[in-house]
Amino acid sequence: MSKRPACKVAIAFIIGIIVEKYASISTWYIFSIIALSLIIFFLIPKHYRNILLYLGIVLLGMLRYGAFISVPNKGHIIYTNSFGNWVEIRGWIKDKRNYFDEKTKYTVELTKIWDGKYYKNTNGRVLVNRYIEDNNFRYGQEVYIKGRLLKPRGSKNPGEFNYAGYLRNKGIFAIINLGSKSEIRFANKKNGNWFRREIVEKIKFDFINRISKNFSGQEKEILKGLLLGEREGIDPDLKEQFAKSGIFHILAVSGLHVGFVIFLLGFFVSLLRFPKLFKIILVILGIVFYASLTGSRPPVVRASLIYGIVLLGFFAERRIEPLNSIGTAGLILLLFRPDDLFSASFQLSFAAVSGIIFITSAFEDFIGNAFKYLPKSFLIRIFKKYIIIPLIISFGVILFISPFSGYYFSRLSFIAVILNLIVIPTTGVIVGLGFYSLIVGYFIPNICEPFNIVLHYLLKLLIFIADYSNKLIYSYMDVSRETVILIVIFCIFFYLGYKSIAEGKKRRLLIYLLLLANILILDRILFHRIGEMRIIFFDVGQGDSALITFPDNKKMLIDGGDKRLSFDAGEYNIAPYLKRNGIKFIDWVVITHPESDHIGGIPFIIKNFKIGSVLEMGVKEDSEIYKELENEINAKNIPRKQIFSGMRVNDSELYRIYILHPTKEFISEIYRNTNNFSIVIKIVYGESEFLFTGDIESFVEEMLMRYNDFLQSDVLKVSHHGSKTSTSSDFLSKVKPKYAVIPLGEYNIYNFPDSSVISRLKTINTEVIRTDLNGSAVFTSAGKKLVRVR
Amino acid sequence: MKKNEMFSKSLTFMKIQESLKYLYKSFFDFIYPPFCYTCDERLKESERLVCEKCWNSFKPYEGGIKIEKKELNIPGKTNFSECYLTYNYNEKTLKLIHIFKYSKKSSLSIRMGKKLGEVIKKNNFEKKFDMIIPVPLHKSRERERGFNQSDLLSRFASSESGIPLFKNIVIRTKNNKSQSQLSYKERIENVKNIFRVKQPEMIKDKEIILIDDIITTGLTVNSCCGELKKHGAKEIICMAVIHPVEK
Ligand SMILES: [Zn+2]
Repeated sequence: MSKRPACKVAIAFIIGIIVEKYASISTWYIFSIIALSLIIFFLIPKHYRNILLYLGIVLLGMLRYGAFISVPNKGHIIYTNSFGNWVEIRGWIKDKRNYFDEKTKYTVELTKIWDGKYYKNTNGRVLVNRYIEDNNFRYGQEVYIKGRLLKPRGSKNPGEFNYAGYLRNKGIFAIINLGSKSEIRFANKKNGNWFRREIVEKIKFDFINRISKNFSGQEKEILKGLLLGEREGIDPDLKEQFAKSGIFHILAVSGLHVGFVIFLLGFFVSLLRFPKLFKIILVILGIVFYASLTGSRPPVVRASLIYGIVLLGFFAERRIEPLNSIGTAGLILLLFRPDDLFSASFQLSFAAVSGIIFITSAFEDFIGNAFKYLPKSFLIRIFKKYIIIPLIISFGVILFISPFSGYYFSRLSFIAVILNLIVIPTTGVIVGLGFYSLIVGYFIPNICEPFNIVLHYLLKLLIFIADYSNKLIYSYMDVSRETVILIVIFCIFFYLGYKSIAEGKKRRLLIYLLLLANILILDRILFHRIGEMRIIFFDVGQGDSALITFPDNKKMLIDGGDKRLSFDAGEYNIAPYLKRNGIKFIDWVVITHPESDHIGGIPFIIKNFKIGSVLEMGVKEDSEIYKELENEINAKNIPRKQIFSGMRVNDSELYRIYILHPTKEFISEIYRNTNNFSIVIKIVYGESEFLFTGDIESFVEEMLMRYNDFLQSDVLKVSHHGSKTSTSSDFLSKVKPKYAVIPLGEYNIYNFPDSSVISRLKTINTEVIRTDLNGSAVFTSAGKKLVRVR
Repeated sequence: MKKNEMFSKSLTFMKIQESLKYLYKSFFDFIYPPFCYTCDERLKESERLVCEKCWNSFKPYEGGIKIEKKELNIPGKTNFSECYLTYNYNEKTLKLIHIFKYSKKSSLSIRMGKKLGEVIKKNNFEKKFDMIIPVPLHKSRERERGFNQSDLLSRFASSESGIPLFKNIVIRTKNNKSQSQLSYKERIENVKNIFRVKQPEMIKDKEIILIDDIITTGLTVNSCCGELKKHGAKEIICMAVIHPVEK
């Protein structure tokens, strides 16, 4: 038997989950493999059986994952064909969160759906967005809702957050946004778990009310987050500051908070004169209650489980093997929710715990030896206990979670190693005082005043630290995915190399070096293809945006999608791609015309990235978003250049950027809207040609016919999101595109794309790529053959 | 006939019980793999926490180790006449004590307490001495930890040797800092006047064995012995599991 059986089994199980996710082998195949393995098991000699046993666990992992993701029963909401239509549903509130911008999000557990004639039974969860603050209704409330049923957006651009996946993990498959035409009514009936509704939620309601009464502003919101996990009310900008400083983890109720609560409970029961078993039961009940108070968020459940395993080990007087304990915890969690393996939260939790275990075992002797030679004075003792050891643990955690935070959020925070020393104890005190104040304040309301004043200043301190520290240089770094992978590879090889030198195995070292060299070559091939041009047409919903990376590594962004209430294409669609690919500088930002769905995302990009110059044709628009754009351009002093047909943008001989429209004369005329002023760009690189038409209508297309055969292109960015007023047959007969990319949003109110446009494209055998269906479209070319990557 | 039936019934019951026990054990072995604390070798069925081989390697002499006063670091005269240890100091035994000290592992305390009792018997102390007294912990400290390691050791030393155990005769009145982190000067100050005898009549003219888990400089036990002597104890010897020597 191995020293860490749970870890081995967990790894085998994880392999099974991963294989099933990417290979999707049908259940019957797996069953037959299991049957076959069983037969082999009894035929082969005993000492081979172990391998087969692990194979069996891999297969079980596959089965479990397959069963977990297999679609639910027939009545489930995902089977309705009402997506995009107006529906009437009934259900009850499973979860309610109040957001910063006076928005309320309900997770509604469905019971019935109106099919036009009857209320039919259904199940599954719907996320309901309501644009007012609701402080009355909560868990268990039955509701009736009328609204448009939408599918949540998945990750439709490389690097983008997968919102649909995130919601699916919570069992949510549909969204309803409550607007002016929709309706929400609250019934007089209640549903859900009695204990949670009548006890837990009532206490939580009371807690929140009293926090709101005693605190204000962001302090109130942070306190709600720290104590109860209700962190949705925190200003997103402040959240971003916490994230940049690398201390966001204190805002998200996590293992740290569970630890504090266990510590407090332990202190509390140590004051009581009860038998020991009774005390342990009291602590466990306390943790369970705390977990349900925070809405049983996954990190809390994870931490409670790990603490539970350690506690049980103490109680059973067993030797506790740390890694094996977290292996057990992982295995149990994945048995219930195998899909969690792929969630950033799960990976970060386990990385953090592993980091603590790794660093404490690696540095145990080191610390002991280092302090042996120092005199045993009071100061050095304090220094060791409160500075050095926490610093090393903090370093271990950051070391282990950095690859994950770099990979998922394209950011590495270094300052957090030090900040944790201040922030974690502060959080501990806040959690302790906060709960003390809430619980004692329940019985004697006035006694808590002094505590609240202390709490107020501690919360202010947290905000100050988050606000101040991310402004320091080198406090954090934006990294591309490639950098993260390379750093991890270097670390692994450094460790392996160090080990082989220490063990005096020179040949092994040589092999490692050769392997590393190969990986670096592979990296150059994968990430830095010389002489390659890459074009991505972003999926920005209803809007337009594309980024071209030229063979000389210059970048051009043509338009930037839309900005609407709580959505910014620049922030959510474009920036994640840029960050993930390590792009910090864009040479040209082209504004084809100043309409909101083309310029909305650009202010965010200008604010957060370096820009060479802005290219425009000079027609302005009197709108809020245009003003914002001009302000950002002025604030960063970015040169603006007017471009007309006939002008050259670049000096390179390698590729050409032609401006086909508008002419200088055209600009002086006046039109109803700016669409026809759109800059039309043609890009030629070797044999690959691309045509970007902005939002031009057919009469401009007619004007362009003068270019004749020069219009011919491999890829056409279809004008005006596939509106019937553009993309005429005559124009197409000249362009003859192989691919036509239509940037547009799902369920857009204009009913784009027009079917006539699609049929016109189909008749000339053009492959139509709609960003609403396909997500972003990516092409590459090395000057010869055009390759569609996505 | 009837007897036979009952017999077979109890047999199946036993079988079920047996397999349940096996299941329970394998379940725990899976989460907490049974490996020896001190040598990392896998434990046998009958062993718990520390393997037999290690236990055997711990004992150097049958009669324990008597340490000279000069090996300890006590300024002035000592308040006890002799000091005995059960185990030699090495990395393994130190590990053992650390585990024992910070988590209540009763199977370890049985083993080590019994060993103390064996040392007592080998030296024929049970004929001479009247009582065993454990070095007390401060009340709040004991509550925090849930047990007092000297208490546990003394209990099994007493049952093995037959010398009666008396707790609560002496208490610790000050929750002083842990000695291990202090400099020598601080240590001397740290243990001054921290014990108080509650029942002086019990110890008058008695011969006492004082038991602690570790004796490092001997300052703590010496302070305790001083308090006992002040209230009329006739003779005191100290016993502990190990004496770590700082190298
Ligand atoms: Zn051993």
